[in-house]
Amino acid sequence: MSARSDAVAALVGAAESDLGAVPGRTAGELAVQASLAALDDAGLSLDDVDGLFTANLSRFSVTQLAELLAIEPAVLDCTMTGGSSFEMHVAHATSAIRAGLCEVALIAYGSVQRSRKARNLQGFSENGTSAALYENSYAPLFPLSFYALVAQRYMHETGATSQDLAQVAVSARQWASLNPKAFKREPLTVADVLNSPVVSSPLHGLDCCLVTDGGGAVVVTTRERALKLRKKPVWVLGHGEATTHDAMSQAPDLLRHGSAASSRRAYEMAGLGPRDIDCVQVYDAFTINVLVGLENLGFCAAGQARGLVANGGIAPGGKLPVNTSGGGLSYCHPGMFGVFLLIEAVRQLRGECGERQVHNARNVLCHGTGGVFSSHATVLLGVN
Amino acid sequence: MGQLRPLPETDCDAAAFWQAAARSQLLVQRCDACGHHQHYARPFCTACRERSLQMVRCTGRGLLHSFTVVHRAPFEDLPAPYVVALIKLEEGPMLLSHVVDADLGTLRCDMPVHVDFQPLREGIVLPVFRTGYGASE
Repeated sequence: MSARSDAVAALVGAAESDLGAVPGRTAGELAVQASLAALDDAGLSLDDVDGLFTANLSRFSVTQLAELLAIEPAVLDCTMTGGSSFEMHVAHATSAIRAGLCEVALIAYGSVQRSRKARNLQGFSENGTSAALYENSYAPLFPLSFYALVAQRYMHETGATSQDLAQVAVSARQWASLNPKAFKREPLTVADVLNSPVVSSPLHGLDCCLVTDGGGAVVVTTRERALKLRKKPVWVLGHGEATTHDAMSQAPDLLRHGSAASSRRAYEMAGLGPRDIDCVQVYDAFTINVLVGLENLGFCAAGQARGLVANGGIAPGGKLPVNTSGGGLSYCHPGMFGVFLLIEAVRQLRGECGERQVHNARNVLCHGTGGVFSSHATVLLGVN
Repeated sequence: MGQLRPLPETDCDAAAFWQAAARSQLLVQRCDACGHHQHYARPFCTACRERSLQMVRCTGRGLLHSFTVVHRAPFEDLPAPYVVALIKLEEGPMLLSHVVDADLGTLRCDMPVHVDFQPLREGIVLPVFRTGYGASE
């Protein structure tokens, strides 16, 4: 029952680096740019940072970033679970703060995958994984084909259609049109999505997230310090993690995911349920993620998400605002989107979102997913 | 481009699976204690945690649990379109594989499939699936 009155940690700074196409920079440089902006936002300095969290800048991401920032933090974490990494970082930073191991945790990321053309369809085969031993010779597109397999099964079991999936992309674009930082802001229709080439059926090109550059950072600190800073603290009310598999064939169920367990853990810690959530930031690498995500996170029964997204239900003015930044589908997606879910949640809870502001947002759920629905982490954030 | 599909790693617990595939046999692991079948081979049963298991031959029949038609080919030795599928074997385990020589418009989740074997290269043979139950292996 840790309500906001006894939350031990708060997000007190949040910022992106340059986003979109950012040539002539390294991933580390974008992570530094975002870090400095997030610390400025918090009213803190590099000298305050004693916990550092990052992922996938390089093999030794956290030492690379500590060197770039010229700091020697006491808590180091480069947990790398794909897109969910940064929600896990919030969980781990909050735990470290609760244990008294650090006071100011900086969580940062950067990627230049677009400018460096680092993205390819097959992903990479990593020696020794069950995917390398048994699956990669079949050339599934990684991770796209797994999400396509989930979408196919989802449509088979629930009667959802490609139009229902496309509605997710259209809703994201409507939010993006209200976000000056979004990469894609021009109007998008269901027909546009359905007319885009199929990449891995039933998913079309416009069912897939953007490929952009960009970095982002958030700052987590103790309750005591948060209350002394100039911006409204965004309390960490609950967090939960989960994993069910690594390789595609090992998923125990294509439609029931680790997000159910990770969100249950977070809800229990916060003493909240789906009905208490004013706004959802759910990892949208593909349109299908939002449909199965909303079901597994408890916002509707299994198979019912199409009803939730129909008629603008998750779009601006809808009853459940989802991915108000425009999400990975329309705002930015530099390889891993998890930190951007947190940044948007902080801004919504502070009331900084201008045209896309969710009225009176008090509780926001952020849910990160990594790999092939392999890793899940849910963070519940709230303001007084 | 110009890249070939990666070969599976076989110098490990995966060896028995791939050696059998080269003989046109599909193997999974069966627990001596509880009878649970699992893919892939581990030193313990994922259901009951007992440590005595055998590699056993499958019927080769299963259901097409889900599938995706890939339209952009990343490898030069596998032109698009091709069908990546999750096959639910009669014995229980799920395999990632291909459905070959199918009329793409007729593929449906839960339709019956049966195993066949296709040489890849360097002695590696891939278990793949065809629609229908066919002759048992």
